[in-house]
Amino acid sequence: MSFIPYYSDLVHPAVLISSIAIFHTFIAHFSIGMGLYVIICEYFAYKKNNMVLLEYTKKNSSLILFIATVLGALTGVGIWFVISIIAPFATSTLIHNFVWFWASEWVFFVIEIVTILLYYYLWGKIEKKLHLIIGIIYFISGYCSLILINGIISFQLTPGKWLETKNVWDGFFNPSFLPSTIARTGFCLILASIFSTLIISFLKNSDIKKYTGRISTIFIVVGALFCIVGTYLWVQSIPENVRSQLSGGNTTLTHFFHYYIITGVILIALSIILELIFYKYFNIVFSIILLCVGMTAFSYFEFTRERVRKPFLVRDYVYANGIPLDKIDEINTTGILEYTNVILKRKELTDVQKGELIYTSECYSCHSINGFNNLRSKLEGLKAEDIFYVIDGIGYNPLMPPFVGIESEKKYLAEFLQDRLSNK
Amino acid sequence: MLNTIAVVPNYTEMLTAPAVIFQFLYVFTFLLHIIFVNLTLGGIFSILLCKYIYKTYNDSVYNSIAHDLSFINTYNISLTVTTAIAPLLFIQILYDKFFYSSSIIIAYYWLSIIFAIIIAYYFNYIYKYKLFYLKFRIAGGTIFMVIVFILFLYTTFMLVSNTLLSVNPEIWKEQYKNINFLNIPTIIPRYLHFLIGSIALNGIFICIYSKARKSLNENIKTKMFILGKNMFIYATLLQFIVGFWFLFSHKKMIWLNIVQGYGLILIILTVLFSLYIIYLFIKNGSLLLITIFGILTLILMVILRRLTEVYYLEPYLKNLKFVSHYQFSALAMFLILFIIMLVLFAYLFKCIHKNRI
Repeated sequence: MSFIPYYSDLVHPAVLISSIAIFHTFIAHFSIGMGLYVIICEYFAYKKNNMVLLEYTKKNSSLILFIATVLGALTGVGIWFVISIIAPFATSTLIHNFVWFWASEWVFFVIEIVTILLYYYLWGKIEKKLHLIIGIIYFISGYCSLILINGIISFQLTPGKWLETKNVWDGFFNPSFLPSTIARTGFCLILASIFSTLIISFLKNSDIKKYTGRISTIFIVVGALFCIVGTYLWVQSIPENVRSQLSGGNTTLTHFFHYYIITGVILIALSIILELIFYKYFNIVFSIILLCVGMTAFSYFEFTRERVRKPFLVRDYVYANGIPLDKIDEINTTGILEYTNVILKRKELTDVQKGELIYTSECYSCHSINGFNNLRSKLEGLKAEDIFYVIDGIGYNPLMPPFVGIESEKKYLAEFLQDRLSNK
Repeated sequence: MLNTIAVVPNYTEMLTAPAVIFQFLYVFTFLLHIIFVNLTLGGIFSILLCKYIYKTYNDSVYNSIAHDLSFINTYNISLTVTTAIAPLLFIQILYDKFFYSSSIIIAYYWLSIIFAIIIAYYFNYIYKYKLFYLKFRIAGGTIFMVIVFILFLYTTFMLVSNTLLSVNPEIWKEQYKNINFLNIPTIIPRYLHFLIGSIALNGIFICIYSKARKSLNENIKTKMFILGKNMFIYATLLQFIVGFWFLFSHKKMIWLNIVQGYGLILIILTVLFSLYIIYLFIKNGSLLLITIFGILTLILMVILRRLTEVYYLEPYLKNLKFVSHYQFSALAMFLILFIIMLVLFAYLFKCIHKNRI
């Protein structure tokens, strides 16, 4: 029997998770890249005995403290809250299988938080070398954190040998682990560069603007190289049939992927031009433009990564609607209503009410009736008999889970959808 | 009639280490977390109390204490969030079927605490750094701390609600799509017990802080110590009443289990330790002893909490299905990293102490 379903007319689960996850990962990547950025700037500031550069570095470290430790940390917890509500079974699988990796990630997280607090509040209060070492520890722990999380996220797309062995190391070092680690390293560097422009834009001294602009440009260029190599290898690492969806097989997915590349190229070009050539005129407006383009490019990458995994939450293990693949035969025999949580059941249910339960169990995680990815635009005007045949055929769509349940339940679902779609 | 056992999902879960390891880690990391939760919540209470004393008796020392406490409160919030992750992880290993279900039932409220903490965190920063010219205002931005307090009261209420709901599957049906927090058993006494405990523990912390902070002048140190001492004594005396109210607000079967088993020993020890701390405070006894007994009291309370949780879940636990698939290499990775972290922190703090300019 499944969990009690999350159902809300106000916020669709897909909207909930995508908004918080994209926001969090955007900040998380920035905070790691910025860790490297500040220690490099601090090193050069000491080497050149440049106090202005040192002050600039300190301001950048404040970005980490005030953005990463508050928004980053809490939206990270928020992702956990959200996924455990909207996809409890898949979350349970990830938590149980990777518990020691999550626990290890927590260790790095604690180190990260403690060292950034020390790094920021001890500016000028301890020896320079020790201060720099604290910064380095912050960066290393942040990067290790990324590696661990990335192993788990990439596992969802390409669980690899884990499906047979159930060995956690097989799951962690899965086919897309290394490529996505490379790509995400690039994101970290790029985001550090564009976030640093928030501070650059307020600098008065044009020499320091030029100097810091160059450092930021180096981060952009190196980051772009990592992204290009990582993305290429990532595309190669995903299964052939999924890859074909990216290159024209599925229009939405192909568009997402193309938009990621286009906005990424625009971001890199714009950053180089503004930071390297027009550094004298750099102001907050440019900075906000770069951040917006960066957020857009990053969102398209995350949308692509999420959508390419469809129809699964963990490929070949659990479907996007939370139904485990090893339960399919059983549910096809007993019915999805039998699998639904007992809390939803009433003694006397009409066929339409039964259909609603089936919709909540099988469709709602990706589709709403009128809002997000709505069924109205796809099925409005169809009669229950026609909807029945649409349901019957959804298994042929490679991005959709098949209908699971007995024949009469398809009918209930079709009747519910017709009933709901006929009421505006 | 709904079968409450059947409300809990019944799939088989994988255990990657003996259950006792998870139980220990859950209790241990929860203890770490609850220390910082108490310091944060009690800390905000003490800031507002200082502001009230300052305004009522026009004693500017309390204004300075309030500012000083607000400075460390942001660290406490950081560490509260950081230490929340581990118990949240281990509770999911042991009781995810309960915890996820209760989180789903109060989904919006549960998710809203993320936003509440973010706003509270930033408001604490605004007060701490006196942004928006607050230093030129008479109240110095006290309103921000009032909002922070309300937001943290809300957050802890949701935490208590979710915890209680998770161990009471028999009320899931009535609460699903029709939430009434006041209908959750024991919620009021438990919440009060939690709040008063925060004030008491923070009292001890303020005493330690007043002695440890060298840069404070003697007048501030003395008044800060007295403030902490009084917070502990009065909150603990009140806690004796609320604590027993809380104990007997449980279902009869639960409180009988508590008082007939190890729970009674834990309660007696807690009461004795608390009385001993009050005695030490009154006699100006050793702060080290106060701290040790304060922590011991908290440990006993956390163990009692755990025991009560098991009593609540007992009817359901036998239906949980686990399959062992131990990952000792991954467990070793975690333990090694954890030890490295402890060594690293010890080394760093030693270096910082030696290398201060």
